[in-house]
Parts: sequence; structure tokens; C-alpha cells
Amino acid sequence: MTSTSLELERALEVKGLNVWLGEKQILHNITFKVNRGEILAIMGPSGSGKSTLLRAISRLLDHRTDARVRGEVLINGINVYTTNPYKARKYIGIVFQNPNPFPHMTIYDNIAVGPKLHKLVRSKTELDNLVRWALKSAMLWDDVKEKLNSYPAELSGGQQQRLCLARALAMRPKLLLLDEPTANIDPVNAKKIENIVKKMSREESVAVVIVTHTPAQAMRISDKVLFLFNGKTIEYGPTQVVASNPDHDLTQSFLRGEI
Amino acid sequence: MDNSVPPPREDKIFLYSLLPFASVIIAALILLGIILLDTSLPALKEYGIGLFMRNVWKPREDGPGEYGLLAPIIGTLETAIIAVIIALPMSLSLLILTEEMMPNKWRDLVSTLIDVMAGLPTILYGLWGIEVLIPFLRDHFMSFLHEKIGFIPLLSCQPLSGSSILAAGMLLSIMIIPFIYVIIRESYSTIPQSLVEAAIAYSSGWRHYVKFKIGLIKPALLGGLLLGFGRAAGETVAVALVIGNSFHLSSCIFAPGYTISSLIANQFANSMYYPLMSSVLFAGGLFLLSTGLALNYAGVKLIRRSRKLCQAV
Ligand SMILES: Nc1ncnc2c1ncn2[C@@H]1O[C@H](COP(=O)(O)OP(=O)(O)OP(=O)(O)O)[C@@H](O)[C@H]1O
Ligand SMILES: [Mg+2]
Repeated sequence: MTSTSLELERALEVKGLNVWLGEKQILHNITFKVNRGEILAIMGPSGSGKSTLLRAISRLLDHRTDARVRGEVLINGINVYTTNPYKARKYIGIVFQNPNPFPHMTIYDNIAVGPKLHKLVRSKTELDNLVRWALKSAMLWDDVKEKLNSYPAELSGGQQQRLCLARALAMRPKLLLLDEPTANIDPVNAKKIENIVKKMSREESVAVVIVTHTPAQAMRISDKVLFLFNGKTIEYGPTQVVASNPDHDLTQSFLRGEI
Repeated sequence: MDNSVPPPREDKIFLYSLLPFASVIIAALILLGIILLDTSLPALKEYGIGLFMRNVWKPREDGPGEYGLLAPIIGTLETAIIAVIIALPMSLSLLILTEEMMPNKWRDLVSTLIDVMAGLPTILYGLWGIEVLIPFLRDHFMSFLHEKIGFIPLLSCQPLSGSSILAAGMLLSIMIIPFIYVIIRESYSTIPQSLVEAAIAYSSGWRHYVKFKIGLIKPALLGGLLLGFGRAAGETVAVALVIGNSFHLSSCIFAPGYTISSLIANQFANSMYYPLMSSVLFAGGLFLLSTGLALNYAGVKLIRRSRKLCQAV
């Protein structure tokens, strides 16, 4: 393989990322890579900086006046922090920790608005198909196919979260950032969503970063694991290696569900 | 409220002890309505609904005279509509400017200044209107528009003194811009962080992002406009200074006019010399009260709806 194709393989590369919120340093010198078609699970106790890391990757800290970011984030080889962030986000689908569908838009529009704004579709039929595909992929189609024109407030928490997943998938992203996407969802649907994420990464070469509190989930779907503790990487490597032979006591006890 | 809990028994005593204070203010409103109704009854009996639909002002000292409030009612609506039409883009631009574009230090300065403006005595705006706005409108703005596009009925009359419906509307807009701005800023700045992030994540540029957020507060924006309209319709002294105080009914906004409030302020001192005139003025007050209540109610409801909308998810 040539070096250029190696570069292309690398969907996401984070180099020496430091984040401060106010006076407090939240992330210390984080470095990792995710190739196309690869799934990275980020684990760590509450408050360790997992959500902040996803925000820093997608430049969602920009509008916070107290946030400071140093380091590099490359998506498809392009430094996110030196390009137009809106252009960079076109390739990112993000699902936040708490469901946040647009309350003033219908279920249909929640999913359609991103592709429409980014001109990903050329016709109404194409958009309809995309919306249906996204809803089916997020395991929500059967729940909402009769009420695409009602508002997300009518949905349960878990359904809202799946709506947000559908919204992210509809962008046909090269990089999926998922912040505990199955936390509010029943085990059956959670399993199905895991399979969708896997399928996206295998078949469409999407790079996935998934934050999870469930070691079992990380084992099931990830190729790599990054373990955060107090904003520092304490473990980073292939899932099998980390699971069978963790470097750090903390990882071990976390994996055993002790912390 | 659906989420309220009944207070425990011992707190009920405290609750009841608060009731007299709360009821005073409600009673004051009800009393106001009753008094206005009572005092305007003679005029309503004499002229019927025609009082609000005819344009005539012929006071007589020795008889009931003839009165119709159509011109001031139309003037009230016209000036308030002009004010809101101008205030909408202005307050929105101010909002975007302060909330999204200015560095923190400037933003605090400017929004504090606007807060202060919203609370100034309105007579100051009236004086400024006479001194600055009217001469400017008369010498530069109105005659220019009249010459260029005078074929539009709204602009068809020869501007004379500058005191006009337009002057009143513009003055009112300057008074309600800060008012509307404060209302929509409250909603805009309290859009939950999670929705702000979603808006950023799915916008294809800064302009879309701002549009997203404006979309989220649309009910509050509409509510703010309604409250602003109510405010403009009720403003008195400043309008009386610049509107020209004429019963002339015209479709042209360069012509002088009247509003209900300025009519009451101007005529009330005279009204004791004429039978029924004060009753007519009170009927005007009744009109203001009922429209004001309806507008404010709708406005407040909409603003609440906006808040609820953002909390729904
Ligand atoms: N605005 C802020 N100012 C200062 N510190 C903040 C701010 N927001 C978050 N933090 C801190 O940043 C740290 C990381 O928060 P983050 O939400 O990234 O954690 P997390 O790993 O996602 O936790 P969880 O598993 O509970 O979601 C926490 O210690 C939190 O207290
Ligand atoms: Mg988190």
C-alpha cells in the first residue's frame, strides 16, 4: 500500500488534543486514529471527558467562550480546526448523549433538514427514500411511519434518541460520532442498532467513534478501545488485546464492572 | 399548572395569608373593567356600535353632540402596524448582532444599553421626535418618497408639517424595538445548549445556524411582536406630540391623524364642558383595554409556548 492510500484509510486522526473549559483542563494530550470501516469504543467513568472529546472533534466547543482547544483533529486528512467547520461537519454524523431532536420540526423534517441544507439530495423522491432508509436503519420506521408529520415531543425518550440516530445516518457520514446511543433504549433495539452501526462500518466503510458505558457493548462491536480517566488516555489498543490483557488496573476493574 | 403539587396542610395557612395581596391586583383589574364599562355606557347607549365605526367629532355644549371614534381607531392600528413592521427586522438584527456576532464585552455593553432604553420615560422619545425625527422626515424622507413613488396610495398625499401617522409609527417603533428585543433575547439566550449543538451540527453555514435558532423561538418572536403592538397602541404622550392630532381620515401615512390614547390625553381636560364627551373617551379606553388584554394574553401565551417547546425534548 502506498502512503497516500494509507492517508486515505485514516478517516479520523486526533493528535495531541488538549481541551480546557474555563480554568480546568478537561482533556490531556489525546492521540488516536480511526481508519475507515473501523469502530473505536471510548470508555471511562463519568466525568472523564468522553463527551467533551466528541465535541472537540466536531468543533462544537467553538461557540463556548470559555473553551480552549489545542492540538490537531484531521478528518480525511483535513485539519478540522483550520477549515470551515460547517464544511467539515458535512462528513460527520453525530448523536448526542441526550436526545435533542429539533422540537419545532416534524419527524420527517428532523431527518430531512440536514441533507437538504447540505444539498445531498436532488429530488423529493430521493429525499423521501433517504428519510425512509434512515428511519429503518435506526429501527424507528415501524414506530413512526404513520406519523411522519407529527412532532418529536410525541415520541418516548428512546424513540427520540433513535430519531437522532436516523438524523445522523441521513447525512451519509464518513464519520459517525455516537455518545452512548443506546443508553435509553431497550436491549432488543439496542442490539439491532449495534448491528446497524456494524453494518455501516463494514459495508460503507464508515469510521465510528462510540462512547459506551457498557463493557459488553464495547467488546461486541469495537475494533479498538480507548480508555479515558480524568481526561487522560490510560489505555488504547485493539479491543481483544485490551480485554484479555489490560495494561492498567483501572481498566481491569472497569471491564469487570467494579467502577 | 399541570406540574404543581398541592402544598402540605400547614403551608395552606401561609397560602391563604398570601391571597389578600394577590387578590388586590386582580380586583384592581376587574374594577378597572367595570368602571370603564360603567362610564362608557351613556355613550354606548346614545351611539351604539356606530361609536366605533363612524368618523365624526362634533361636540356640543348644549346637547349630546356627535361622536365616532373610527379615525383614532384606525390611527391606532396604523401607527402600531408601522411600528411593528419596522421593529421586527430591527430587533432581530440587534438580537443577532449582540448574541452571535459581538465579542462578550461589547455585547454586554450594548444589551445593557438597550435594556436601559426600554425603561426610559417615553416623553423623552416624544421630545426627540419633535426635535429630530419630524424635521428629518419632513425635509428629506417624506417629500422624497412622495415625489418618487407617490402613486402608491399610502404615500399619495403632499407631506405638510411632518406631524403624521408615519412619524408616530416610526417613533413608536423606536420605543418598542428595545422592548421586543428584550423579550426575544430572553428566549434566544435560553435555548438549551443541547439544541444549540444540534443546530450547529446540522447547519451548512453560520446563516443556517442562526435561522435554526430563530425558528426555535418563533412563537416567542410572534409573542414579542404582539406585546410590542399592544405597547405601541397604548402609548400616549409621545404620540400626541408627533401625530398631528387630526380627525382627518386618510389612507395616506404622510397625513396627520389621531390615536385613541392621544385623543384621550388631548381631549380629556375639555371633556367636562361637553355632555357625553368624557363617556365617549372612556369608551375609547374600553376599546384599548379589551384589545390590550387580548393582545397581551396571546403574546404571553406564545412566549410560554416557546419556552415549553424547547423544554419538550
Ligand atoms: N462548562 C464547563 N465548565 C467546566 N467544566 C465542565 C464544563 N462542562 C463539563 N465540564 C467538566 O468536564 C468534564 C468532562 O465532562 P464530559 O461531559 O466530557 O464527561 P463524560 O465522560 O462524557 O461523562 P458522562 O459519562 O457522565 O457523560 C467533567 O468533569 C465536567 O465536570
Ligand atoms: Mg458524556
